[in-house]
Amino acid sequence: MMPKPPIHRIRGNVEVHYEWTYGRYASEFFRNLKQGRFVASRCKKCGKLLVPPEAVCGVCFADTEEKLIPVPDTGEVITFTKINFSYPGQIIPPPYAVGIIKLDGVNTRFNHLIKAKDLAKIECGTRVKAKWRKEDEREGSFFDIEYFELMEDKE
Amino acid sequence: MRKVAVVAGTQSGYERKNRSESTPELIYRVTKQVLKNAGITRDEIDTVVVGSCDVMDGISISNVYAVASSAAFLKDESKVEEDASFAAFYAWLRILSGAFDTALVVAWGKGSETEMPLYTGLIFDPLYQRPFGLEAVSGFALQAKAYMEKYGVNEEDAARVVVKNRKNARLNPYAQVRKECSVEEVLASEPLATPLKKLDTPPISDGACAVILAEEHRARELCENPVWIKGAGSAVDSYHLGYRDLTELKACALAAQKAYEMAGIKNPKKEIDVAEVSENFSFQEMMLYEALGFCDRGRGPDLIRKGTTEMNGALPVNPSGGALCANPTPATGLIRLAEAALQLSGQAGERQVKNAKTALVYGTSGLCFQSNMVFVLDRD
Repeated sequence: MMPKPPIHRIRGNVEVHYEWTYGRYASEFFRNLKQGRFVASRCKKCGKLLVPPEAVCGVCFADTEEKLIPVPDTGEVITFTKINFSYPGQIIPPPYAVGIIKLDGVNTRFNHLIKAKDLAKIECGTRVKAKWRKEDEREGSFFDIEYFELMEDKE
Repeated sequence: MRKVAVVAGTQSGYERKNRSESTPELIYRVTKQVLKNAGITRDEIDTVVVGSCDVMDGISISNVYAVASSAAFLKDESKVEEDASFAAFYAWLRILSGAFDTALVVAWGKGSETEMPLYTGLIFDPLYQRPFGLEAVSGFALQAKAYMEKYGVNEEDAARVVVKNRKNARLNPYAQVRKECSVEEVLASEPLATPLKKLDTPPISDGACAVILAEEHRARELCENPVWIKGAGSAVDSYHLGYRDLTELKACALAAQKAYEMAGIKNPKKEIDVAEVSENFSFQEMMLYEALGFCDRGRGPDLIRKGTTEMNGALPVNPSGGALCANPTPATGLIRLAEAALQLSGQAGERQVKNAKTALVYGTSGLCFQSNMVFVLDRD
């Protein structure tokens, strides 16, 4: 008689769909990205410029101004990591670099991909600029910027 | 204010893949054991607080699944959906309120049963951060790099943390990773997300932990040497990684400050005899030394280079081997509490720190130490 295979697990998966509402600030942010520019929200209390923009400055627990303020698409790398391994949920195959970028004149930072002719050239403090997709390819998402590229690669 | 003690604890032992027990069976094992260790029946438990994670369990409000196994049937029961050190915190507050005299805290995680990068990736919000597909390793890598850069910390320093914790875990029968390694082996391990290599990262673990807390009178009836919660503090930092200075651990420092004030600790470096901290990654343990006041900012690497936090040093950190040697999220922080209580009650076996009288416990949730929980424990 053949031995019985062990019964020791049940496989399953959960697929749940969501429709997350952007709200006013994210809508405005992504609408502006589609037009090729960054906007920030300014805290009414401390005056700091927040990107990505939020309705509330968490530090002050104060409203931000309703009118969002255009800010440059250049800045610096605050920190970064070169990703060399594969994992579920990854958006592109490794190797690639992700960083936290601070736009010039803005007080907060956000995450994005960083591309360089030579990944070894990326350092904390490296100057970067947004690489925008062509206008007709933009759809109002963070990926209207393909990645941030090193200023020195542009020169 | 009432005095509250940790009167009993137990751990399942941790492994990469527990295929012999279902989640309820695992919970039942530690719940039964902790009641036995305390010498009480389930009728003597007034309230149950659970630390579990719905996304990992694949069940909404997954504590309701564990009612039978966690001895909660017809009792007051609730859960925290974050690190289980917060479950212990709520249990402590419930006893302080006077509404309950005894509390069971039980936490579990079976990382092997889901896809952990997807779980940790879901911590990032869908609007602004998730599009980049970050998860725990890449998120903590961003923090490690910022810290290295700011203070000139190097990868060898981080590797020394791994070497220390693995050496300690060798003497911890519950630990999952019990193989020693060298600095060279850490440096030569698979590069995952710079500066983190495979051995800088925690394992994926299955396991559970339970502790029982009791107010003073009950505690003295139940155990000869109760371990008292002398102080506790928690604080949460900004959500977006980019809204924080990732090198600073401001909220961790604040949580520690609150706990120290309550416990009357003036000089943590001198007064703390042993610390159990959820370091998560190698670099991060050095950052915790700084935020918890064991040394000045940027001096974390000195403690590891000088051996201060080794078992025979002045302030041993993670005699258990820490999260680098077993990380059954979200139970990790409760394990720290159970381990610290073992140390103060003199029951830590081969990993016992001699004459430990005051212990620090640190647990955390979220990416890069967003939520922070600190306990100070002592004994009579």
